[in-house]
Amino acid sequence: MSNQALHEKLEQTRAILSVKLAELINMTAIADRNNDDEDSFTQENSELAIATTSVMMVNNQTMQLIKNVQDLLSLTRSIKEKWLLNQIPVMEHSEEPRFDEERIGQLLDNCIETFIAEQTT
Amino acid sequence: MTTQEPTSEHTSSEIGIKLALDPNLITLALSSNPNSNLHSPTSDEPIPESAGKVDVDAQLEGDEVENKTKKDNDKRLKFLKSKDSLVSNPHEIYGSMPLEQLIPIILRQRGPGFKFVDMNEKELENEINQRDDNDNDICSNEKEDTDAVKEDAQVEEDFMEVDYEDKNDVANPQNETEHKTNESSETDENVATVMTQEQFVKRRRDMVEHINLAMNESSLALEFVSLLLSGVKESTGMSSMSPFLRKVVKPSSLNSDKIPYEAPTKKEYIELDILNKGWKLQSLNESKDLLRGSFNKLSYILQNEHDYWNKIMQNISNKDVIFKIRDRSSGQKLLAIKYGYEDSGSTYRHDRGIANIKNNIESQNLDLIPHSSSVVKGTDFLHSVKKFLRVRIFTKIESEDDYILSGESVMDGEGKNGEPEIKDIRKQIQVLKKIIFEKELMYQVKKECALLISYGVSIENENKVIIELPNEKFEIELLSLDDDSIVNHEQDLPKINDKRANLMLVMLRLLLVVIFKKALRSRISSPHRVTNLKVDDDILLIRPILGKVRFANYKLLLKKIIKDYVLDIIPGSTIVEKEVKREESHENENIEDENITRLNKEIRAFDKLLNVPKRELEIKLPLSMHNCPCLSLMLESPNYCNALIHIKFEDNAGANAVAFNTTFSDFKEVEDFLHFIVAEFIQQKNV
Repeated sequence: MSNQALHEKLEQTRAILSVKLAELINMTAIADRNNDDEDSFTQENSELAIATTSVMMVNNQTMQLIKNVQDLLSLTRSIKEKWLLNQIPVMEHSEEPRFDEERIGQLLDNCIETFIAEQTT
Repeated sequence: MTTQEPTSEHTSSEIGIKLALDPNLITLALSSNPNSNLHSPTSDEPIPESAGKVDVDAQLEGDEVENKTKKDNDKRLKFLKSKDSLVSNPHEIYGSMPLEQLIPIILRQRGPGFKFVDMNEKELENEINQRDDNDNDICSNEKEDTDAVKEDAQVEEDFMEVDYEDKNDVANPQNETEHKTNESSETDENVATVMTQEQFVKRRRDMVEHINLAMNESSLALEFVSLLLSGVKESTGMSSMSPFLRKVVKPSSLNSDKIPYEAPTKKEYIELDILNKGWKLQSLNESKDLLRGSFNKLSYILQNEHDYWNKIMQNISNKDVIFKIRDRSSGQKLLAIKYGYEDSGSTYRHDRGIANIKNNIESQNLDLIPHSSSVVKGTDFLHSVKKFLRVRIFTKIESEDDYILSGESVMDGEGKNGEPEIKDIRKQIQVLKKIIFEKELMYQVKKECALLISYGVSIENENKVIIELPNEKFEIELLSLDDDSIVNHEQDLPKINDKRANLMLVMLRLLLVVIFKKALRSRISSPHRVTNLKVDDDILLIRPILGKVRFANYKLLLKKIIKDYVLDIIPGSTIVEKEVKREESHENENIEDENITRLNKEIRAFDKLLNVPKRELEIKLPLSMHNCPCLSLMLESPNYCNALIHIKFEDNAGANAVAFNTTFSDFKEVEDFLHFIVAEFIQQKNV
């Protein structure tokens, strides 16, 4: 996913999240409001509908909320992956290890000698 | 049609029913009626006329002309009109006619002596007014007609009559007004003339639209009723159903019943309300549980993720090769790290050195799961897969013709000391690197062995290589950590050759590093990627080491020969051993690249190991001799394991100067040759 797409997706998810949350809060508010106009008999039919649909709606909103949070999680993961995988290795030429050919030669000579010595004696 | 009657024919030809809109819209359904064929449709004839008349006032002159034509030529109209349709639209007949044809028709209708030029608006208006008067006169006649019609209509089917009446009502309100009074018709006309054409067209369109809508609605209603009816009386219902509905919907599939509506009482309402609230409460509770559950789950996951990335951040530097990978067994997306030496010049392909990075939740650690060991599960894999090389030296016991173990290389630190839980991912990588390095070393050693059978190198089994020398035997073996020979002999006493065994192992490793470096160099300097090392030139692991030993043996032998054949015979002579100057290899020297220069430098550092052994033995003859001849031998092993002896002899003294420069590969021949030289040229001189 490109940076742009990631950014857009993030923004989108964030927007959906806030909308869904607001809707869910609204849904609970419906229950409260009904307390006020208890006497209105005319409403009662539509209220039955609200009751059934709102069960469904609340459920639905909750699921969407969860789903989006999960999306958010996977998004952050891909962002982190991007960060990790797109690192450019830093070349560290400055502290080049001292490479002492003389010393190596000496050591090798020594080594070969010891190795052969036993054999030949 | 029901309205048609022979008696009304000639009167109604003058007036008829007046329609203000395209009558064909309505006639469509009726046109199929066979009655219209039987009776001449003349009674309807005036309808278009009047319709046309309304049109005339507002429309273009062309239209006007048309209308005029038809007004004046009833006969013609009658002839032209299609016999099937109840009413016909004159515009339909003449509208599409080109003027060249239309004008002659008009002329003919007007009778001889009429010129088209004479026709003007005023005249036409007059004519129209005249006609309107006639219309009103005939109104009374028409009423009689309709009475007659009604009588007749009763014979016909009911719904047909309905149709007819509908048409009359809906389609022609204007007509009715005209029926009522003269004046009203005139005012109508006046209004009509005042209207602009656009307004008129618009109104007409609106009206047509509305009528279409109404028709649609009514036909829908009819369909509905028919379907409902088909439940009770199928044939009746079917007959009024549209073919489409008949085809698509099963008859009598709709039913209705009347249910009396009872207004709920207050008690009922309250119950309902309580029920509603109960539902709501329940759903909110459910949602709460759901949210809480997923919150717990997600925060757990989040915590793990957080830990994981933290650990990655701490442990993985940007020097590591990290990439995404999909686990073959589980299909999970994972991060993998490459710990193998491929980028450092390794060409080992049996294990690419890739490990998945897995988060071990229990131990709060990152686990590396190498791909090669996918079978082995869990954290024990490092232990069971850990392989290492061991070099053992066996010394031959002359008397028994058998070998005893005289030296063994030790295993490196952590494996033996054993931290069963390797916490740090860095350490895990180290271990893995070590393992893969050892595996590759063994692999390359085995490859090299194929060339060295004639020098006493053999592969005993998949993981064991034996190098035999006259008085000792080397064993290079790839072992896993839990091998029996390790477990049982952990506390063995140090042996005499342990150090040599270790040195040999170190040298083997160094040589593999040199191979890597060379491969890397050639990869950088040439565009062709080296995928496989050539055993002959590239893999130098056993040969340099073996060569050193063999060369030492050759040298000993040669010295012995010299001693026997030269030193012992010529007293006072000595051997001087000299290093042979080597010409520097200028391979790749001309390539200006920082990396290559560095690699060259690094490779050169190991020349001591890699150089082909070469020694010069100069024999110093006693100084007392004047003009002493020069005898020197050069021993070298071009392919590390063989021996070539160059013998140089120069004697410039005296008249007959002698010079030899020969090469032998057999020590026996060297013996003979030395003997010959010493006997012929050196001893004789002395004598």
